[in-house]
Amino acid sequence: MSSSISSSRPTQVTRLCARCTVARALILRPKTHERLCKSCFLAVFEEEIHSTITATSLFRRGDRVAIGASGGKDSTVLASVLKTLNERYDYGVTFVLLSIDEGIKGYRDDSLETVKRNAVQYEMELCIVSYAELYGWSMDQVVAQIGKKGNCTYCGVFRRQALDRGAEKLGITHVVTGHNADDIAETVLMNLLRGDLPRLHRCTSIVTESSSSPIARSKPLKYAYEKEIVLYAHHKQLDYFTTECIYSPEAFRGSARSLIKSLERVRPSAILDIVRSGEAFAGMVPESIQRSGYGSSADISGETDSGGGCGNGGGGRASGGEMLDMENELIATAKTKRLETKITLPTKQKNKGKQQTPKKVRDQKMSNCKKCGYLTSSDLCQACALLGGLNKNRPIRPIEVEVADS
Amino acid sequence: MVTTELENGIRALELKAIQKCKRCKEIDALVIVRQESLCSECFDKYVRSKYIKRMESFRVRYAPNDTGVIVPTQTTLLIPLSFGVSSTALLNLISNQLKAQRQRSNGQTGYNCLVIHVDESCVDPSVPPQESISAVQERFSDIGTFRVVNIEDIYDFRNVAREVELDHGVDEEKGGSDTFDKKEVLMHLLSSLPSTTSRMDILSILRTRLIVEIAKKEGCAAVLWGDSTTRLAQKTLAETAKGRGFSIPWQTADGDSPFGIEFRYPVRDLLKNELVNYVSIPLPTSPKPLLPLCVAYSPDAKHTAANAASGRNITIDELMIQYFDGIETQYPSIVANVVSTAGKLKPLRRPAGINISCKICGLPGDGAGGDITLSALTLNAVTELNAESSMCYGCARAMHGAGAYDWPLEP
Ligand SMILES: [Zn+2]
Ligand SMILES: [Zn+2]
Repeated sequence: MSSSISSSRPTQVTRLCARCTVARALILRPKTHERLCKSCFLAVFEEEIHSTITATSLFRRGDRVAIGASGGKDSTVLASVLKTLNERYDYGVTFVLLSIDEGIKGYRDDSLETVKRNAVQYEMELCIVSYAELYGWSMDQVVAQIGKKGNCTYCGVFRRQALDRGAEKLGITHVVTGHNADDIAETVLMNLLRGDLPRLHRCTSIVTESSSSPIARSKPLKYAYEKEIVLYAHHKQLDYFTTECIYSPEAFRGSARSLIKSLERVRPSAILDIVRSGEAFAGMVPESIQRSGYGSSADISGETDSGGGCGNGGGGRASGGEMLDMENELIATAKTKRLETKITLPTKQKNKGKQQTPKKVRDQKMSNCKKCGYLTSSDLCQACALLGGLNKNRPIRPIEVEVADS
Repeated sequence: MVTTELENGIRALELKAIQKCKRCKEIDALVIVRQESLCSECFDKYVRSKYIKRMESFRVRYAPNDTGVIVPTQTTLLIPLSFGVSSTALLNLISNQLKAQRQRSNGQTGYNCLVIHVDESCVDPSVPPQESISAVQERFSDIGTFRVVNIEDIYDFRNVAREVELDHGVDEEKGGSDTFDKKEVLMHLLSSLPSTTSRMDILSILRTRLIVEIAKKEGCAAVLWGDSTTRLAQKTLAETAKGRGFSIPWQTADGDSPFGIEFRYPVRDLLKNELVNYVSIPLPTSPKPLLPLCVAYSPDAKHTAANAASGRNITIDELMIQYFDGIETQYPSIVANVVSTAGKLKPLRRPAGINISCKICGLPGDGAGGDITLSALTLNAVTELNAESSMCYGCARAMHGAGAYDWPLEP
């Protein structure tokens, strides 16, 4: 479009806070580009999270709720805000910090120190569950064995179960995680790019209750912008750990992430708008597809179920490897379909390549994992299946659960 | 002019010496299509087969007329022409389909076309509409009628519902064109919008609604949009990013639209770079390349990669166009998979209590008011957006912060 049309809105000259109109505006609010004073920014940020919590009746008086705490900005801000709101509005909820020790040197050992300090600062109980104790493998050992490619899959599966096991030990059925609006928007775009309809159906809901887990997960920060979380942590002088996971995220997430960042620059509301579109998609995925999964390895990766872990960090860019894999998988599926068509309908050439979807839709029937008893749709749960592969090259160790309180 | 994609294709072939076409195995290959090197003849056939698959239903049909004589039925289809690669390629495909029908059915065709170019020179003067449409009309004189309409003509339809009730006899000239300058009112509307993204968004809504109004007025059976696979993928992500996720089935799927007219996307199974090749090389069905007719096409990206990344002076639609133009060469199946995924989404059931269409885009509302996403905005925004509850979320977002404006259409 030519520049012959220009906005007729007057440029903002006032230096006063747009909300209280008294104090000096010091913060340009990333979500709306309003100029606010520090205390109005903090108040607005907290109020929005409060309204998310009340509008969805997220907590009930007397609940014990675990906060998936990584020591990173998202979960630290989440813990801080929940403590503030719990006191201000008398939710009557007991919050507990639940941390996962993936066993990544120089990343998790340091961030866990942050979580331990947070537990003291916020007067919350802390429980740490480690991959090494739970699975006999730390992430460093996993990476040493399988390399960096695909390690996020292991980490994601292990983390999901570890959070469940930790919550179970604490007698808790609700875990809140630090996923923010950027993470959710990113996941919406990623699921569109990967053609993952079941995930598209569920990725924006505030609470995810899954047939494969007895623990409900929720995301009170689902409308909070990453940039505002950083600002909030900064202005509240919160103690958090800034280094991001040293093992880079998958290509699709990287690709979606850089897209989100550009979109936010074009129109700051874009992140919220994508979340809104994602909420519409939730109701647009046909019921027959909603609850299905599919057999490829893509099924277990990519859900931002990180509890404030690597899904929230990682500035990694698309390496392209995963996208190339998917491209090749799609081409192979299309070729197989063509061949099938040729064999069954040798005269009808026009059906060539009609179907392009690689998904094998199947219903999930849940049972207990034959090895560890965790809920699963097949004989072995995903963690035990992955462990089976890892342990082939190493004597099997017993799987045990240990919870360390501090 | 030869495009980059084509040059790459040719260069790749030269390296491996001259290759025979993978399909006919006789003629030298000229283009690479999804990993297959094809000669121009087999490539022409490939493109045609993808088109015909979507257009088979528009064959010659016969029905009794008023006097009981069996005659071919008359169907008119509206084709919006942007002078881009896809809509120009579409005209060539249509022209060939009609030629084949005439040969087989005693000169009868299954349909005829009304080709409309929407002149947006009041906003973007880069396309000279009159001479461009003359050139296209000369080339495809056998497919139907050609017309240029101005985008501001949308104001002629402001009382569409009432006019239809009143009867067709009303003098159309008295639509009020003396009382106000349509162009000026439109410019005012666009300039009152908060951002370039909003302006481009609203402009494309006005274009769609103008085309729909003309199609209905002219009794067209369907609108044939020239969107390629790549364009549909771009639209899917752009509409998602503009908060219009709910509208994706209506913007990308073949079938009845909520406007009461059928939408079709006959080149939906072809990638943009395939259509660029199609208009760039001499083909059996078009020995003279079509590219000179595509005056709105430029092989260069509109924005530099740095500009796109910085978000400066670029709109959300343009950003998505650049993103998919960038990945379609390397990942064509992923692009196609986005479109097939979007195709599985079903329109939302309307929330209870919302039974009017959005007054801006005309699509069934998605209940913009009182929703959790909106309540997470600042308090100011909530009140304003609730006041705009006759709009869908995406339109409320596009119009949010706009000054006073005169909207041309009724809900
Ligand atoms: Zn203030
Ligand atoms: Zn609308």
